[in-house]
Amino acid sequence: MNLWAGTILLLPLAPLLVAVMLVRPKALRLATGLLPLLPLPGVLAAFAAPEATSIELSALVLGLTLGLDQAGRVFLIFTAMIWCAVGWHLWLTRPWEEKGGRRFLFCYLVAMSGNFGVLLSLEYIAYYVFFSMLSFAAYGIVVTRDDEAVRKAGRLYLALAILGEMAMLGGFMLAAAGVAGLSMVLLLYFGMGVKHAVLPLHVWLPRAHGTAPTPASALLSSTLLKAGLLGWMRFMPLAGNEALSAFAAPMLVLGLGAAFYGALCGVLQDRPKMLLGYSSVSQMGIATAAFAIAAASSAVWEAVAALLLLFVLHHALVKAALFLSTGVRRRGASGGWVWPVLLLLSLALVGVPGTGGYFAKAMLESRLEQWGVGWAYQLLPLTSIATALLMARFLWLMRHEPGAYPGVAQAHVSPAPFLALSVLALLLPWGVLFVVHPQPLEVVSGLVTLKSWLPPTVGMVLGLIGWWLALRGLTLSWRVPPGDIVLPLEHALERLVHWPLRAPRMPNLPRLPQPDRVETALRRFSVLGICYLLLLLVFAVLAGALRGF
Amino acid sequence: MSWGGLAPLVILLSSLVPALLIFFLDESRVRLRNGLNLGGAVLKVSVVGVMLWGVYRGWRFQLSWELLPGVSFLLRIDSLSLLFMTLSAVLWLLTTIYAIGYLADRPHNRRFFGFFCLCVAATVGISMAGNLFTLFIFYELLTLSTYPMVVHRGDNASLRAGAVYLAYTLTGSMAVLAGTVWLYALVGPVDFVEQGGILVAAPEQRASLTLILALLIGGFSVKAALVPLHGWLPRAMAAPAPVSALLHAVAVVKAGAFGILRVVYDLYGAELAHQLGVLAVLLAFAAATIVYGSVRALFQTDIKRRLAYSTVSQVSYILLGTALFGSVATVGALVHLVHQGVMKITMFFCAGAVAETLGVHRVDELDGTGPRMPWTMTAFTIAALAMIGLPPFAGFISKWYLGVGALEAGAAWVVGVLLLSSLLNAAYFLPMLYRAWFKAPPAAWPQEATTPGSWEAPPSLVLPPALTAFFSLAFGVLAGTAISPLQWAQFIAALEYAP
Repeated sequence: MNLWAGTILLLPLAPLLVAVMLVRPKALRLATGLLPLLPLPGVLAAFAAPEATSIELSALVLGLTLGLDQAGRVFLIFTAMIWCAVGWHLWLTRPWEEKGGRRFLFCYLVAMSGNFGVLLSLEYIAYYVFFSMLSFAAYGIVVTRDDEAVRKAGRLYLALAILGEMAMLGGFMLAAAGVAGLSMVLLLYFGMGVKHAVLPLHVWLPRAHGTAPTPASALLSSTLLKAGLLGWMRFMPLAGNEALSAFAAPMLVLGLGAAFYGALCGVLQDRPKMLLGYSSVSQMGIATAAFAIAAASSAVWEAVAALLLLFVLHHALVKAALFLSTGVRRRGASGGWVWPVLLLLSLALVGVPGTGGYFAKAMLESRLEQWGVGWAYQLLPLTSIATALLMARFLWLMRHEPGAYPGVAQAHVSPAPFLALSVLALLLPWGVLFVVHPQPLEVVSGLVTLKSWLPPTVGMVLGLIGWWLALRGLTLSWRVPPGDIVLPLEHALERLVHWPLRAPRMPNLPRLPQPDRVETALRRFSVLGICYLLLLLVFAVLAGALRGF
Repeated sequence: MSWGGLAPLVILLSSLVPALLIFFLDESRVRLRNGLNLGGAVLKVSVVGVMLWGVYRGWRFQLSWELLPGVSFLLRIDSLSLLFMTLSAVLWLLTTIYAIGYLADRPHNRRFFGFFCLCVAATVGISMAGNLFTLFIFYELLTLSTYPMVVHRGDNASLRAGAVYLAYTLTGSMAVLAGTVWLYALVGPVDFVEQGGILVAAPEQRASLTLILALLIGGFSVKAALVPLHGWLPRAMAAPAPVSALLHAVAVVKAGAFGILRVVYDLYGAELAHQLGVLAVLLAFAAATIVYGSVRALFQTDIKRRLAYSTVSQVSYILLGTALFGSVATVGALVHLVHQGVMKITMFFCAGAVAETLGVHRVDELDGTGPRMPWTMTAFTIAALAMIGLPPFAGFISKWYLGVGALEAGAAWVVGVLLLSSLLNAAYFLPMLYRAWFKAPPAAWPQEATTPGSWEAPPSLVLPPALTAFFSLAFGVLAGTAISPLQWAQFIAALEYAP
């Protein structure tokens, strides 16, 4: 085991060790201080570790392989940076002084371990192990207050997360048994897609992002969200090219659908964090569409994978920074920088030429053109317009965002971590472009064409018109409740049974009369005896019938 | 009698002798009684440890004598016996420690611990039984020696539970007896054989053999709590916590499942049992039980009742794996025998500790118990997550092998059942964890006991669940190491499916 293999092992292990430290209440403050430092080896490993660094741990679980591939490397860069910045932000909020801070920190550390583990998992058992750690620990950083809205958000998240994990596990079992095919594609698509907020499983995202403490939302929207995509890239090909390309067209439709539907629902929000949540749904829709292209033909897999990496790197950094901005002071020392930086980040997300968002979209457009899906190619520029409107609305809402909520990690703190992360978000895509793209100059030369300027410009003009109208007193009165399409379902469920995940209602759960009566009847000996004899008879007859003697 | 025959005898006597001595001790001789109990348990664990090493090396230990012409009493230690024996020996030691703390200063401890030892003697007897006749003797001994423990409290609820328990299990035993006698009449005395069973079905015997298998499986499935024969198990919750631990993890339900494993693998052989078609029926019943038990658990408000229905569901995982043909599913069944034991015993230990310390009996009273009793509730949390089947806990390993085994056996729908069961498990365990860790504690606990010292509860109530919770984690995380239950299960499966 060399130095880099050790580093790879340390990344998921160190947070767990610090989490164990929390058994001593006095270690709380020290552990918080370590948060920004724990991800640093990740940054180091992502840049400096040699090609094909991996380590096999056959004694653990069913045999795990951890290591770095190209996708993992890019993911590790932004993930480690975001965990650093968010850890710094979290430290500034002094969580050790709050009630429930210890539980929050514990879950935070387990989530960190899970997140790094996911990136380093080169096979599906390891991926599944760390993915579950991440999913469950994320619940603990979302739910920090004991109020109905938070509980509801947490419950919905957990229900969907578990559902997704079960689907994913089913998919992996198929892979282990060597049964490739469309069912495996579907299980993995929706199983991992829960994190990735694919339609119609996106409903948890706006709620959880909107109600979680600032650092938690920043993490959820950036790194957690991408864990599913990485799983797609690594494990969907196991289902075989044929099955994958058969599902490419539905994926494209679902992806573009999410891109527009998310933007529409987002504009009709009145809380900036909910809006950002919907923006993530929309952006991840674009990523899904890009993945569909890769799925359609294995020939372009490499090229599209590179594009996807650039896209997720950019989106993760920008979105984490945007979420952090909702928890920073906008006055005083360096507070004056917040608004200009927010504007720049918004432009980057829209895809104004010269930003990371533009590079990714430009590359995606050229691929769509090659694939020959004309209508999708026409639709893609429109997403820029939708995003522009969404971000205009975001900036508008941010002006009126009320002060900090009480609770763990909710305090408004210095914008230093936010600003640092924003700088990375704006500059890093340039670096990645030159590393992953075969002809980066071609992309850069596209900066000056009319085609690339038109959609964002239209979007920005529309956004300005919106601002102007809003300043004139026009208000937007339509609202989409966060969670949109899940609401009717929730009402229906509530009427059907008191859903047991609804923890507060546990004591007065109605007893289902039917099973109870059956159970009582079964207990009577006369009934039991007859049942038993019948059962034996059935056993014998069925067995005989099955074998026909 | 050779030295090899001594080992089964020592193992049997290590709990039989303490049992007999305890009955003759005075109630007030607490130290001597505990000493005998613990001494026997420790002795058994150490001998079993040596046996594990020996059997892995390829040795077998056996002891037999002929009772009647053609009917012999045979004790034999092979790989499958050791799986069950190790589980029950280790858990017996822990349960003894727990029970000593739990029952301190209560009446009738002589009776309790006497029968407790007897139960364990019967259990190791079952694990070592080398033929159906011996198996039946110990199986009956287990039924009878468990009864006084179920009714230990002596109140009306306990007595009724005891009556129901006897009615169910004796009926089951009758079926086993009928099957045994029929088989002896049909093919003569047959011993269990490790490599894939001993019976060879001549065409004219097929019908009889099918019925015998149905009788045996039907009989054993009463103790294994297969729906609709599970009614006694939730009722028996009236008994004290150590008894629940014994019923659910160490001995009783396991004995039923183990009986089925023995009959299917070592008497009939997996291949013949499948050809006869009985296992297809068992598969359907096991799947139905898994779902039904979980659904029932969902609607229980009493903690122990919820755990009891969870056992109904989880034990059927073992039967499910047995009913699927193929070595991967067999590994799943065998390994779950151990995993279910350590997971479920942890939960009952914790439920007992919380009830003793805080008077918490219902799910809605769990609010804020996490910070109040952190060690106990951490153990409970680990066991619950393991039960759901989350990686990297023990339950995941079982579920993975069962699922992959089902796919290899061409029964993809079983995967659906497993996943549904996991969802239901999550639905009834996670709200308990939510209450324990996320809700604020009540102003006053229902019935708080004063705990001397700095422990959250007496150490004998905290350490056993802490250790079993550690097992639930370690058996999953370290499944790939040479000393994990998974490796042992693979070792057995390799023997059973050897060509």
